[in-house]
Amino acid sequence: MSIGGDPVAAAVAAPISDGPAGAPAGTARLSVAWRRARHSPSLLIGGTIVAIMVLMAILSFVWTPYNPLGIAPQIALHGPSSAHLLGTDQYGRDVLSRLIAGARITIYAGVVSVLIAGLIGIPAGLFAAQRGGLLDEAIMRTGDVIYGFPALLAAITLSAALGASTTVAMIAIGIAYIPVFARVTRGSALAVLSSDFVLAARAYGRRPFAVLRRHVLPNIAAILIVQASLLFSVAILAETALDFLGLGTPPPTASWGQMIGTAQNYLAEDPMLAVWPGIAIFLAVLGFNLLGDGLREVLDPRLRQ
Amino acid sequence: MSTLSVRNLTVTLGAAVVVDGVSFDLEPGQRLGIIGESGSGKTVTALAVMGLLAPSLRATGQVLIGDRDLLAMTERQRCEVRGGTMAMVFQEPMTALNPTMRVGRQIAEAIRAHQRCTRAEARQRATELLARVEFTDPARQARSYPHQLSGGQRQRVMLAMAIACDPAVILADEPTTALDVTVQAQMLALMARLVTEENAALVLISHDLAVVSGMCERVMVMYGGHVVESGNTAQVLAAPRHPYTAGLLATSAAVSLDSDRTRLEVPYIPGQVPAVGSFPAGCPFRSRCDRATAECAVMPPIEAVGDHLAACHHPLGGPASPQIPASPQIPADLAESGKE
Amino acid sequence: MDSTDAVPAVPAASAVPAPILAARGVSKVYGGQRGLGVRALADVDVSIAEGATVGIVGESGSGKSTLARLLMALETPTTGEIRYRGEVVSGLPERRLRSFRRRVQIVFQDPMSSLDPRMRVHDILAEPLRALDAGDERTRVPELLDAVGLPRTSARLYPHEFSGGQRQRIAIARALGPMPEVLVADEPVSALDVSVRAQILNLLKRLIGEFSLTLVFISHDMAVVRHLCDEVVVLYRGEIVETGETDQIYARPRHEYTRALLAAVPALGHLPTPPGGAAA
Repeated sequence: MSIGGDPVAAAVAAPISDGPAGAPAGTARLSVAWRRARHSPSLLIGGTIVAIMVLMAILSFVWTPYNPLGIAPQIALHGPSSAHLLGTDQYGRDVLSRLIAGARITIYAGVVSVLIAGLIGIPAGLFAAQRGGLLDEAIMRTGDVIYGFPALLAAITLSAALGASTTVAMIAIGIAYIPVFARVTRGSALAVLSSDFVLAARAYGRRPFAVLRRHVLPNIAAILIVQASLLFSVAILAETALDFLGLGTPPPTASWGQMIGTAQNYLAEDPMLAVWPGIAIFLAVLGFNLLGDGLREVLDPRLRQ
Repeated sequence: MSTLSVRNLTVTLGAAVVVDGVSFDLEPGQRLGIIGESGSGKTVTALAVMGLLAPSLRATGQVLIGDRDLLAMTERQRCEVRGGTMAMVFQEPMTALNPTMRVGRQIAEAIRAHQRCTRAEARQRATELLARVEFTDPARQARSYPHQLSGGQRQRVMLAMAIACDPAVILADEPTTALDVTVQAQMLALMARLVTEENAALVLISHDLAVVSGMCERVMVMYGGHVVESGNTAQVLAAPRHPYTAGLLATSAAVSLDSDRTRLEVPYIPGQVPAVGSFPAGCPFRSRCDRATAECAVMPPIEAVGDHLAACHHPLGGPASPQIPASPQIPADLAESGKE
Repeated sequence: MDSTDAVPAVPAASAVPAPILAARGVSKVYGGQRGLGVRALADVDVSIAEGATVGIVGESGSGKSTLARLLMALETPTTGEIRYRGEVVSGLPERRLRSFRRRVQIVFQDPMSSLDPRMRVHDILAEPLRALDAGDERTRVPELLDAVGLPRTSARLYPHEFSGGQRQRIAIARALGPMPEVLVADEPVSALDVSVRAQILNLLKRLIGEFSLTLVFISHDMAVVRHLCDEVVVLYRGEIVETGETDQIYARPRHEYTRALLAAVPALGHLPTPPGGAAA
């Protein structure tokens, strides 16, 4: 038996007489989460990067230093200056403005693929866990087949067939990650479903669907949030790769992957043109990965000591 | 000289005191029972004595084996003591055994960690040990994996590992709690016999007063990290001085095979066991004690009350209570019953 | 054993009332087809009279928890049937079990895993009322907390803020919510500290009287069963080996296994007697 078994388990079980009777427990819970969050550097750094990205994307709808699409051939490929902090591209467009606007595409790509993977994968995992038997087998084996197909290749094929578009590419990435969500959901749902409180709920007549909604989902939400944030970074990478290949977001819309792709042709004139979006992609992926790890530290009960 | 001598052992977790000033001596062949509930500090005491505390816990005081202080040793020296001079049996044999290793080999490795011998000799010894812990077909069963054995069998494997290197002291932490009652009875009888044969000292940790009282001639009752009562088992059972011990005894006696089963309410200790760190300052039991006064805000020292020791400002007095149970049997007797 | 009729737990009673809950020829095999599965219960007959307190004792592998789940109609027996007041409830779809669910409730062993950690006590107690339309949660929840001796302010807290004994009180309150006639308790005090166990036993005994409950008490602990129950059913490896009145069985156990169980109970001051024969 570990040390954790005796005193720490007991420490969690504070007798109610000790707590201020009127203290709303909900806020106590939040403040505990906040206290843990402050001790998780990954969560703080990741959260900050992600927040900045989201703010940038929102901001770009109302303001960017210059019009990201505004062509000015006379200042094409000018390096950084006080007017254009990160310089201009081959059409004279402001690189900083395009970076800010490109955040939109990146966020959009992440949201679309996570939504698709989650909206299909989570229910599939839940039902597989609850029904078991043949349905479980069918769902999970279908998942294996999808998972076995290379995601990027699927996205490329779809884009080639349907024409380049961010949405099409991200639907392909989203579908490819349905099995990941389904598997994570199924695994954690099985643990919850085998607990006595679910048996108790059945004993007072809660139907299977209500059990999933009232007991299983709230108990695995933390794990799913972590998963979503990790998938977000995978989606960003996939989207930039497709854009780089010219199979994702069509020009002239600003997107980071595409910026690197076109910068290739002008590496001799201004190598920094490829570096800026590269840094942006790196930070975005790092941000979501750190956020995912941080959330896991804070939310996942299995990692709590 | 005592085999094991624990002096003023204190374990802290940050600012919280988990175990506070525990002292006891063990002579060869002696059996000491430690009684406690969750949060009493009984398991932490055992782990501290073994030098197995988690890094977040800090132990002070002395754990003397002969004249060497375990707490002052390097980890390397402690490893020699653990499994050699001192061995431990844990509550959950499933997690204490390596699931990927055949049990015979696990016992053999325990032997080879402390004794110079060839692999074949160690295997031979392991099979003999399995026979000693009453495996009917030790040569075959040595080749089993832990999951192929029953809970009782696994716990007997643990016991075989514990006695592998002729330890002077065996610590057993709730060794029968996870077992069925009939298996528990077998296990206790076996432990009693082996400890006698090895002439080892035994520290038996349990929440069950009845289990300890049958096995151990001395008992120590812990509550909230303190030893609240200690002494000869028969004397403590006959006339408990600490209200906590008395409460436990009354509860155990009221729900037993020879109590008045029609009584509506059994005597109980009011309130809940506080969480670690939220026991009241002073006497840890005062928040649940009907004899508590202002005086109890100061922890009473453990001192002689009648024929044994208790830490209470207002100990229960008077002559021994009428429902004295039979005095514990002597070890020789236990050895007899174990051979059945 | 009589194969056509349930064996009453009280064999000699002259005017045996119709059982409120009964298992007839119940077997349960887990997993595997063509007899490859694990047989948890074999041809078990149990008959529980209204107002009775019946202890079902056995060790691990005896099938006692399986029997509890079958009696609760949470699982379907492989053969045989469960009847509530004469009506078959085993194998029925959930929608036809609503009135049964209201009348038969359960308390589990481990109060940590039997309460949803993400729900406040109010919701934990209100859930059965909502699911079964069994009363207004605003009035019932405080009443239930009173009944099990918890302060009404507990409703706002989460399970982890309570100690083990208090959590078991919450689980008992939840079971009482729909005003059941039968309470099935599966090892309800085994996971509790000794000093708290007596409180829960006293509470159960008081509630049996207050709510006129029929109690099915499942346990491995012969002493606790003796304290709470008037009748005993002894299970061994999925079969009933002995059944009868508590006083009779404890004084004159007829089956060898019952004797072994009784001898193995640790008592103050002496070592329990291990069962004869080789180790299990």
